[in-house]
Amino acid sequence: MHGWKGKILRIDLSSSEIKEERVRDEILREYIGGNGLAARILWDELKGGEDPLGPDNKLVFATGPLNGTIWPSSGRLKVAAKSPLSNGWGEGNVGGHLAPHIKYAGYDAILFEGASEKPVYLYVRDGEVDLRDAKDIWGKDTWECHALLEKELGKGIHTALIGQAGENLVRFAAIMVDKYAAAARSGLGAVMGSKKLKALVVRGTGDVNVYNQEGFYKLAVDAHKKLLAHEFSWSLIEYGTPLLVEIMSSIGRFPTKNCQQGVFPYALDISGDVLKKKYRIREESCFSCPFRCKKYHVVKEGRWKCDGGLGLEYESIHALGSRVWNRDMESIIYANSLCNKYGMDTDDIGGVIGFVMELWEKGIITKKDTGGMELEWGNPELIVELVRKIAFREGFGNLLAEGTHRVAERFGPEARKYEMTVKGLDIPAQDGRAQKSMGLSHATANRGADHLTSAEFLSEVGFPDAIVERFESRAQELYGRSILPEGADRLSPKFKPLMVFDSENLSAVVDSLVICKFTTHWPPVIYFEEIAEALTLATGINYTEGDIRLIGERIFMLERAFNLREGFSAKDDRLPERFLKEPAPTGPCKGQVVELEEMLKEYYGLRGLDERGYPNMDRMRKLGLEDVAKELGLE
Amino acid sequence: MMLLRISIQQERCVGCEICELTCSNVNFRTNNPLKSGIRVVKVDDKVGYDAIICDQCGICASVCPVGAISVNNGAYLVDKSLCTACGICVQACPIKAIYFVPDCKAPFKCISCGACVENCPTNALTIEESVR
Repeated sequence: MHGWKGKILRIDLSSSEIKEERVRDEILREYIGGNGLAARILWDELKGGEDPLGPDNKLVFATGPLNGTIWPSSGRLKVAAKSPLSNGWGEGNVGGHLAPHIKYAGYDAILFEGASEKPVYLYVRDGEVDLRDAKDIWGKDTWECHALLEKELGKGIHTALIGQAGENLVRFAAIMVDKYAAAARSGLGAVMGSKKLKALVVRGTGDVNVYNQEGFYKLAVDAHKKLLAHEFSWSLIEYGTPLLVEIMSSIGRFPTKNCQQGVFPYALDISGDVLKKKYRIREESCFSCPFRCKKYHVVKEGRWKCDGGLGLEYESIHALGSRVWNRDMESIIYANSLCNKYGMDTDDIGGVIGFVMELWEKGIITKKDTGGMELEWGNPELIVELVRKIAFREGFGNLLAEGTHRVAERFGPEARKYEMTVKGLDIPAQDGRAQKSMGLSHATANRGADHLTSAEFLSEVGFPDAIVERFESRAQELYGRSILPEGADRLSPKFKPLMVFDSENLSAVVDSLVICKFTTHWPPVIYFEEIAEALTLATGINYTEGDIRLIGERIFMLERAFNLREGFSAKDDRLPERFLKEPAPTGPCKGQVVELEEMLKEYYGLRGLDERGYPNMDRMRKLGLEDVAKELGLE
Repeated sequence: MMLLRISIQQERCVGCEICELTCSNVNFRTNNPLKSGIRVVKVDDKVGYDAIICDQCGICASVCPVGAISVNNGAYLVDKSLCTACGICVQACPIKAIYFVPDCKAPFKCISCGACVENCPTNALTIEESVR
């Protein structure tokens, strides 16, 4: 077998049984790997209605055929399970070097089911696999835990760990890979905690062979060179994602004060430039990535003196900064490092803290509710204290650990007006009123409010060349007119359904290979055609561009079906009231709302969904999902 | 004798492993960072990464009991047809830059082909002539 290893590892944590299983060839061919493979496994093996934090949930770590090869940015890993935040499709995506090592150890995926009675960790070195007692690492934060495992097992291991937040079943707990990279969203750290699984440790030494080694190598090296030469790449290399802080605030897309507005007047205090000049000590790349977008930060002195670790991202700067009106960069670095140590998604942390700060501002909650805390905007001491209280479920933190949606339900209808979630996930660092395609993306993403399911970044600041290259012929075919100028206008809802639909399908494929969107979506270098060529050379299976597009659509639809089986429908493809009814108060997008209804209607048409949000049978046949349609009761 | 040596500017290394993957592809026709004449190692979190690369000192050739290691195209090369896999060269290497992995018949090392230098995205690697 080429590209793939053809094997998965199944660990029953209830019985401690470890099994190696073959994956059927057609599953790999039709779902590729990563999220596609995970979606197929979870669709087949779950029935719907499971308690996400019970032993019936299953947790999949899935790689794809390009992981472990020299293909650019092929270090990413997909983790999936039913989400304790949304009660639907849950997925996290994480970089680093773990995914290649799972392949080198001989596996495409590692699947955990059941639940252990006592804390355990799994150690995989090539074909040798065992479950070990985790009593010495349980209760430790992710950095301590990684260090203890390295001491015990030697250098060169790669780890996926939970911190105290995962152990304490914080609903937005993350899984941390090699300390600093997070499979952050969907609360998968809590799923790991519920199974009493503290860590997955992998050391792989085998080969990953591709079908046409010479051809594949040549194509990969060529792709590396194209990526480095692209005009957008230098800024990513120079600043990493924090480069966006200043730009996004200037266009009014930077969620501020629980998304009241998209302009943060103090954006310059927390910009990528400040990070670079004052706090960066070095930089790092994920596996086989030319971009080195991970920067290491240290706060050398003062109240927030700390080792910030690797990779403070744009999302986290927003969550611990503008979202909660905090302009103190050092406290953001500090709070972010705590989130990494305790293992929590920063987007949801900033989401829930910003939410209760607004409830406090509006007088909906008082000291009686907060255990005596005064939730004033922008108080760094308070933010750091809340991060800690949430991880340990102390006092008011115990409620916040349930996530924004459940906190909102607790405080009633008045509070729910300010709940900035979709499908239980907090809105990440994009105000859809300033970029309409992001508004739509938040509503349609299968895991809930998410910018990466579509990763429609081309209309963000308007990249007309790439937009024409990718969408002009489709726009002509569907609407009989040019994609420009509206396609490149972030404030126009026009053409955004098409761009989101296409981008979601591309993402679904990218997440199955598993590679990074910083090679496919932004900068827009690798597209369906290049993926078809790479996958053909890697696997020896002849894939056309059309095949790859279809696979992307298939994977997206299967994840959607997972949600439908859990009782989701069109009513869940929504946005918080604020984005629909409160015009943006300031910035170049002043006066804008998200025209969700009109975009959604067109999007449903493109995706073959009816008014209830269910797929039509023709589309399911076209996607080869007849069995799924049958289980959903479609005619 | 004219030799070619690859060396690294440590502070430029970002740990992407592209050099290892390049060597693995060019010299071993596979993807495996352990099948590579250059090895990226993490020093620690603050310092970052470094690479172990043969400096062509020739000690391996001098200890080889069967004369299987000699200079070829500017670098010491293990002749697999002569090598008996005794492992003495691996033991003797002062910087541990000659490797022996289970499914390879003979030890291997950097042969200064320069492919990694070409592919390094941060230009951390250089290839230079040196006279010994």
